[in-house]
Amino acid sequence: MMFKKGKQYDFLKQVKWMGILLAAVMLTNLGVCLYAISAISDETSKYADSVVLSYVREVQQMLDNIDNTIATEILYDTKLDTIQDGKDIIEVIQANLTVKNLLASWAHQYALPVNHMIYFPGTETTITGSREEKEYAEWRRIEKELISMLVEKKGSSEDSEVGEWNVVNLQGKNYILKYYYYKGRYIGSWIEIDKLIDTMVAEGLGKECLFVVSSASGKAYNSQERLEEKGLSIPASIGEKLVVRDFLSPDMIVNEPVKGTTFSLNAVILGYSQVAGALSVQIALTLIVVMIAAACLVFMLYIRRTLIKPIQDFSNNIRKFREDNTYTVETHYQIAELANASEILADLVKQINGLKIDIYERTLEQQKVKMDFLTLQIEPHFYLNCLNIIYHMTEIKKYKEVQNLSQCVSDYLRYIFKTGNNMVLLGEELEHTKKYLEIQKIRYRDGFEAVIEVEEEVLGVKVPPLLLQTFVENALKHTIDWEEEITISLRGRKMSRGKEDYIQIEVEDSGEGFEEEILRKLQHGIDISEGEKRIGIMNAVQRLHLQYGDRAKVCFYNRPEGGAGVRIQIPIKERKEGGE
Amino acid sequence: MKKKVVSLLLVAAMIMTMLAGCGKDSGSTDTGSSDDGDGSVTKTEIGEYTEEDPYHLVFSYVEFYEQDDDARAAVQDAINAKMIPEYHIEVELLPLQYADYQSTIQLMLSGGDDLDVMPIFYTFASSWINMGGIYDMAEFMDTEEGKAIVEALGEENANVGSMNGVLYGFPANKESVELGGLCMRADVCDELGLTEKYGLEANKDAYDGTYYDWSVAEEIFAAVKAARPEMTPLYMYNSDQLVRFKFFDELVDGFGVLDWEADHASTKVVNKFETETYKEAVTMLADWYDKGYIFEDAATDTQGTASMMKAGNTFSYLTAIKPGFLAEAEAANGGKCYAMYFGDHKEGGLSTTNVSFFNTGISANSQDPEMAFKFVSALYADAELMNLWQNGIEDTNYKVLEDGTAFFVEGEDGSNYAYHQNTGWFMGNQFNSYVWNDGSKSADYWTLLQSHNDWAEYSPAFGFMWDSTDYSTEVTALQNALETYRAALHTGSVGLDKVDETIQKLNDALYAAGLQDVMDAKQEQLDKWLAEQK
Repeated sequence: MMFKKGKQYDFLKQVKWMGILLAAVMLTNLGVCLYAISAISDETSKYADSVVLSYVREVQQMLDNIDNTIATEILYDTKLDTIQDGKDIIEVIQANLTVKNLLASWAHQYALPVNHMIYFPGTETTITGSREEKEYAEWRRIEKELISMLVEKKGSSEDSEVGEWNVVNLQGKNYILKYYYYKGRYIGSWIEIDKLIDTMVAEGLGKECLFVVSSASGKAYNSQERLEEKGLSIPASIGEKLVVRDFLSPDMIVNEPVKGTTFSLNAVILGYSQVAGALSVQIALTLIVVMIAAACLVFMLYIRRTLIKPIQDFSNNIRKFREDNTYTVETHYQIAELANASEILADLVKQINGLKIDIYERTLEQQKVKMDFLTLQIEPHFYLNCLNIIYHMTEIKKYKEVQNLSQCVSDYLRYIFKTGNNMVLLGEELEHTKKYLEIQKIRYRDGFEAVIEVEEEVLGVKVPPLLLQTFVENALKHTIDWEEEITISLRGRKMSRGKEDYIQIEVEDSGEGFEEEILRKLQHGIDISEGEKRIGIMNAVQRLHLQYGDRAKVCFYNRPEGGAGVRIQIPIKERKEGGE
Repeated sequence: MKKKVVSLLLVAAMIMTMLAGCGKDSGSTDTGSSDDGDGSVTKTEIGEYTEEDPYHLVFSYVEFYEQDDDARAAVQDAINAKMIPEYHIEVELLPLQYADYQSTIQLMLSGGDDLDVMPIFYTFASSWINMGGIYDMAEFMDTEEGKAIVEALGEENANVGSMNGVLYGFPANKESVELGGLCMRADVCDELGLTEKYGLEANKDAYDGTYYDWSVAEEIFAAVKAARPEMTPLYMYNSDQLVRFKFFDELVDGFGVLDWEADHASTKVVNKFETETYKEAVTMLADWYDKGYIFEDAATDTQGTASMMKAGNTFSYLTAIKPGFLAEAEAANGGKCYAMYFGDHKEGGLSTTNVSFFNTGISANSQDPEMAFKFVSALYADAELMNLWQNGIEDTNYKVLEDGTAFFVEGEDGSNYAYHQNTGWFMGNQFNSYVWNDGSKSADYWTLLQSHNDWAEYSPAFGFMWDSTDYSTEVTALQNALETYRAALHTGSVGLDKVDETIQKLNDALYAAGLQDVMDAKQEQLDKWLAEQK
């Protein structure tokens, strides 16, 4: 009990502690998670910064170089004058070819094709440095629009002009463009924005990294659909590097203006792979831990319900039983073994209780018998009569008979006190009975005749005390009649029934016999004692029953010749006292 | 004792038979003949080769298109699986890139590297011969192999690759005559009724002798210009296309030529730019230009016909036409086209350099030129070798179709093939290999091509290669002088009123650069060669 109690106590506590521990782990996990996210996103943004910066620098460098090249190598070139004047066709053609080759040679100095063109409004001729088929086709596509745009921009002013690198939309595509207007001719450089973006590669920057060219106000010039898809918008330029990032958002935009131009370069990083990865790993781990914890908890509760609680109930029940001897079967035991045990226990308890009652009753019975026996033993009438007789005998001065009688009574009493409840030898009992008869003979003076025929071999058998005497007494009592002489016969011999040896004692008299009613009752074993009357017989029968159970038999009958008879059969083998 | 004697006798008998066998073989082998079958030996003047010990031959060629290295290795193995047992030659393929082909070969020749068979571009022939890098193959022409080459190329062409008495190379078997005309947009032709008028048909490009005068072209241009004012009737560009109009035997560099148009039989070296023939052509072009028929920026344009046709604003361009041309043109130009032959004569002229473009020859570094010659001959006579080298391994790189033509295997095409040289016009005898059929050709394509050559009339100087080594400075100067005026004159950009004046300026510049000396030298060499031919 104590041990079980201890376990229950610990169990709940354990569960509680486990719960606290898990909560602590989860919180730590969360904390680490958040820290990791912020650390990684910081790293990523730093890396993104540096990537964007390097590309911005590259672009700026390239554009500077282009500006430089044009300024130093073509802007003031006299060949352009030749072409513009158009005097000598041969010279014009020569100059044209030379300039063209020059422009073409500048086209592939960088990672992407840079196109140059010169337009002479006077003759409406153009020279283009785009030689490769793809670029030439591109040029043909936008030529008209580009030229008319330049002319429109210029208006009628003859002043020289240099524009900043700008983004223009020609025939539906976006280009960055710079032009010079000098000495009446235009020199322009144009780059496809898509081709510019293609040269930008960012590895390890999130799941997907888009480079976007945007205007100062945040208008994107490429990848517009993708941005829309993702619901992102490019910020307006603040004149220097700008990072746009929401804490938990997996997307980040790094915006940096390109000096010397009207546009900015952006790196749009979708889903920093590491962050998303780390995040999802963390979340997965947390979830797993939580799930395991929950499972454990649930399992423990389940155990508690199906195993521990029933055991506790069970042990409580048993305790109750100890206290008040009742045992109730609980029906909620889900564990079969426990239910079985409980039922068996209930059964046992019932049995025990039954047994207890049995024993109690038997003890009572035994007590009663003993009491009766004791009562019998102390038979006041008999002793009073004997004393009376002795008194009267002394009156008539029959001192010899007084001696005899006192001796007999003394022997009789001695025997009674001596034996108590112990078994006696049949011989002894017989002697005692003879003494009794002698006493009675003195009382009743030849009122009766006793015939005793007992075999010698049965004399040594142990029998319950005062058995024989009782029946003989009974026979005598009921038949003694001062008028006729009756005969009391006592026979005893050894017999066998199957394996059992027993002694058979017959006590008969020649009186009137049992009354019909009485005999019937006796034969049926019904108690015929009425207060003091016939106690002896009943007691004897009861004692025999107690001692020998079914093995001893007492049979009452009336002799055909007249008179009552009792046949007693007592097994020779003893049994332990009190047993069945 | 008796047993010992018998066994000794037997051993002796075996040895004798072995020796006898050997002796018999070596006795019957001629120089330059090869036996097939095992145990045979190919003996040349230099060495003996067997199947177990073949001659290691280095075959260099220009790979114009990218090939997969592993595929090429497999083809080399396949070639050797044939060449070793049949020719006792173990071939090592040495592909070169066109961009540095000249310098690579030159280095190999001067460095004494292992090199047997190589391609010789006619402009390099002179310098390589002079540096002693080329082996004269004349001595092998009487052999079986030599005869096989003659059979493949024809007597004339087999010997065209000679210079200064050295037979340095054999030209590839290809259509050589250039019959020219216009490639025109089919839809515009249909629109203007030209299709009906001239009986134009899709894919009709084989020459049957029908040609038109350039005045007809002028009419067509006028019609186009009237109907489609924004369209350029004739696209011309910076490269020289004068040959479409007039044929001169350029005698290699065009400074000092034979005026074949004026006189088919003339062997007098004249200044092309002073001939009437030339003036006629250039004047016509200038006239066209003024009329707006010619692309305005022709003089400086470098785009190319495909680009311009695809751009959609061009009606026609000048080109050489041959069977199968229109199918290619449609693919390149992005639309259906018709072809019309234009010219002054029914036949086309054929000069040395028309035929002798890339020649196959033997380097002086070859360890056994006789074996190298056998290989060269095989390129012309052995269809299997040509197929292996050009098309690869059957069923791996190409499959033979039902009509006997060949094409890529399943899953491969022009963009993802592993091995397909596609250079039959370059070396060897492509007429021996399968007709490559992309759906537009038939099995008799080679016949068609060869019959195209039938329309050629040979220049009297055919076979003569002028050696310009001594005049290289002058030639360069002449080229520079020409370049100043060429674009303007040959595209008509100069304008009709300036034609004569410009021609004069050109000629002044040429003579100033030494034209006369060059022409004299050429005439001398030509006369000498002509004398030798008689």
